[in-house]
Amino acid sequence: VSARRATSARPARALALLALVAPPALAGCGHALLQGREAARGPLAVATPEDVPVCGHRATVEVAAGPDGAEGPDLQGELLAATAEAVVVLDVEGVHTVPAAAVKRLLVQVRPSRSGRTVGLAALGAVSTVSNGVFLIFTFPLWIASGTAAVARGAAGDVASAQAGHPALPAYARFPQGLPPGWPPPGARPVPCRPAPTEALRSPALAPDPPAPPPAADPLPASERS
Amino acid sequence: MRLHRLAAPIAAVVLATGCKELVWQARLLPPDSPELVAADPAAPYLKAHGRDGAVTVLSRWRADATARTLSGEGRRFDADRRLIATGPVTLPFDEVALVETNRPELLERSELAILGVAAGTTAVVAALCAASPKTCFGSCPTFYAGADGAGPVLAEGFSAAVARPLEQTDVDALDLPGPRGPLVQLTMRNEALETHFVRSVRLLAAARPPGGRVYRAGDRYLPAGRELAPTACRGAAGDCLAAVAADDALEYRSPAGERDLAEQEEIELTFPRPAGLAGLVVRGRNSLLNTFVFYQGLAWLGSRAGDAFARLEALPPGELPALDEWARLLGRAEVEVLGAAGWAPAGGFGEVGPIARETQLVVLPEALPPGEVRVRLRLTRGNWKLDRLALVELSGPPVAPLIIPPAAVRRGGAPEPAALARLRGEGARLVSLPGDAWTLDFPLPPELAGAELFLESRGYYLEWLRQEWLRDEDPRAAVALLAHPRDALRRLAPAYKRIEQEAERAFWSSRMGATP
Repeated sequence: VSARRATSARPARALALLALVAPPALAGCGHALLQGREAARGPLAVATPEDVPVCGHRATVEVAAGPDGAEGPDLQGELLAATAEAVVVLDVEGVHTVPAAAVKRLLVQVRPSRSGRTVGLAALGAVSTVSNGVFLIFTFPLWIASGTAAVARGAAGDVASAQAGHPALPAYARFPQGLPPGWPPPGARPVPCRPAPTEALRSPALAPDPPAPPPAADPLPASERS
Repeated sequence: MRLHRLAAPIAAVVLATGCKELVWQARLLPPDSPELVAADPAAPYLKAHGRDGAVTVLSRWRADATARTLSGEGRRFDADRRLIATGPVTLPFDEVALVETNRPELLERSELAILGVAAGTTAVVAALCAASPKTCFGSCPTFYAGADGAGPVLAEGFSAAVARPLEQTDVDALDLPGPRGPLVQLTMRNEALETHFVRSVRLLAAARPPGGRVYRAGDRYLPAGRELAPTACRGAAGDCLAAVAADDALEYRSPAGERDLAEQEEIELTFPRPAGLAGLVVRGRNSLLNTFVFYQGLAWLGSRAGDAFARLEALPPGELPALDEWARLLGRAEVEVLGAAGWAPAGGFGEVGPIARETQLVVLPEALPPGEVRVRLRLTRGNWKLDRLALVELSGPPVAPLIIPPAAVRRGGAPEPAALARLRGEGARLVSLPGDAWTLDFPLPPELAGAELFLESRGYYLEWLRQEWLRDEDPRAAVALLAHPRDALRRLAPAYKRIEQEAERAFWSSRMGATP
C-alpha cells in the first residue's frame, strides 16, 4: 500500500544513474554532415560589431592510420585553416598541420554546445519531480527520456562532420584564405583565440575582451583613414 | 518548504532559459567580386581577411569597385586576434585576400522545447496534486477497445474491491463500437497509482434478438425490443430530459449536498406506455464523490494504512467487519415505479467507478396502472452522472451468454503466455502495476458476430497511499468513517464542496491517458 517502497529502491537509483550516463553517451552519436554557412538559419538578429566572431570554430581532427597501421592521436582545437591540401589546428601545444590525406574525419563545432546546460536542466527537472509525490514514477522517467532526447538532439546539431577538403570548411576557419605566410613567426607561440561562434560575447562579464597587447590599441594609421 | 512548491520555479527556469542562439550566416567572396555588393545587402557586417592574417570587421561598409577599396567603421585584429585598432577605415582590395559577409541570426534550439514538455507536465501534476490531492486519478483496471488501447474506454473492473478479502466479480456491458471481426481485442490498463491483482477476465457474448438488444439485470441477461425515451425528466438540478434522453456526451449530474454528502434526491421520469413487460435501462457512472470519500479514508489511515490492510487480510472471511457502510449510504440508484398503491421499489442501478459508463436493466413490475409509466430514481445528490434512461420492452426469457476466455495476451506486442494462463483463472492472479497495458484477444464465433458483449473481470486492487495524504493522518477519523459513516459524510461535506467544481478537471488531468 505504501508508495515509498516503489519509489525509493533500486529502480530509482537505476534511473538516476541513467540520468547521469545516458545523455553524455548519446551526445557523441549521430553527427550531421557539414553544411555551408551561406544558408539562412533563422530571423535576422540584433548584434553589435563587438559580437562578430573573429576566431575559428573548434574542431576535432581524426587522424587516419599511417602506413604502419597506427592511427595518430586525434587533435582538438581551433580550426585555423582548411585547404584542399591540409587542415591546420591550434591546440594548447601549438599549431598542427595535418595533410588532407591523413585526415580520417573532421568534426566541427558549428554552434556552441549546450549539452552541459541541457543535462543540468534535465537533472534539475528530474529532481523537481519530488513535488509530484508518487506521480514521479511517471514524471521522473519523462524527464529522463526527454532529457536524453534533448541532449541527443542538441548534440547532433552542435557538431558536424566533414572530410578534409570539403568546400564549406574554410568558412569555419580563422583564416579562410589559408594560413598567412610567415605566421606564426618562428619561435612564437600563438595565443589562444576566443572560440567562435561565441555567445559569451553577448555576456561580457563571462568572457572579457582579450587583454590589449602592448602598445595599446591605436587609431587606424592615417593612411588607412577615409 | 513543501516539495510541490519546487516545481513551478524549476519549470520556470527550464522554460525561461533561452531557446534561441545567436549564429552567424557567412559568405566568402574575393574582394573584387562583382557579387559583393549584391551578395547580402542585409548583412550588417563585413570581415575583410587580410593577406597577412589580420582581419577587419567593418560595419556600415561600402565597396567601391572603381577605387577598388572597402570602407566603413572598423575593428581591426591582427593574426593572433588581438584588437589593434578601431575607427573609420579604407582598405585597398589588394591587401584583402577574402571578404566575408556576416549576418547575425537567431537559431531556434529545439532541445529546450523538448524539456519544456516535461517541465510543463511536472508543474501541472504538482499543482493539481497540491491543490486537491484526493482528486488525483485513481480507479481499478480500465478496459479499452482495440489492441493498442487507442479506442474508447469501455469498462472498469471490480472498482469496489479495494482489498483482497473484498475480491469480487464484476460484469460490465461493453458498448463496443465498429464491426466485430472474428477477434475482439481489448486493452486492460493500470492507469493509476494502484496494484491490480486480476484473477480472471472473460468475455460474455449473448445473441441479440432481431432488431433488439440484450441487457443485464443482476445475473440475468434479458432480450429487449422496442426502446422508449422519456417524455419528461425532473431532478434536483432541474429539467434533465435532454441529458438522459440519448446515449451521448450529455450527462445529468446534480451538486452534492451542502451539509451532508449522503443527502438524497429524486429524479422523476415519465415514459410512454410499453407493450408487455418492460424494464428501465440506466446508463451512467459515478461522480468523484465516493472516490473522494475513499481517498479521505485512506488519508486518515495515513501511515497506518498498510498495517490496517494487512490486519484485514489476516481476518477469517466470516469475521470481516462492515467496511463499506459509508458506501452503502452513498448507495446505488434505487428505482421506484408508480403503481396503483403508490410508489413501489423495482430494483436498483449499482456500479462503482467514475471512468467508464455502465449500462444495466431494472425490470419493472408486470402490473402497471393504465396510461403513461412514471418512474423515479432515488439517489445520492452529486454521486452520479446519468447518461441515458430509457424504457425497453422485454421480448423473451433470459438468455445464457457464451463465456469466452482470452485466447492470447500480449504486452508491448510480445506474447505473454504466463499472463494468459493467469487471466484464464489458472494459477495465481496477474499482478498489474501502474503503466502496465495488456492486450487481450477473445475469439468470437461467427454466429455471435452481432452479439451483445459483456466483460466479466474478477480480482481486487490496492490503492497506493500518496505522500500528500499523510498530512491528513487521523486514525480516529478513519475509525469514525467506518463506525459512524453518517456523521463522517456530514463532516466531509464542506471539504468536498470546496473542490467539487474543480475535482473533475484535476482528476482527468492527473491521469496518464486520454479523457473519455
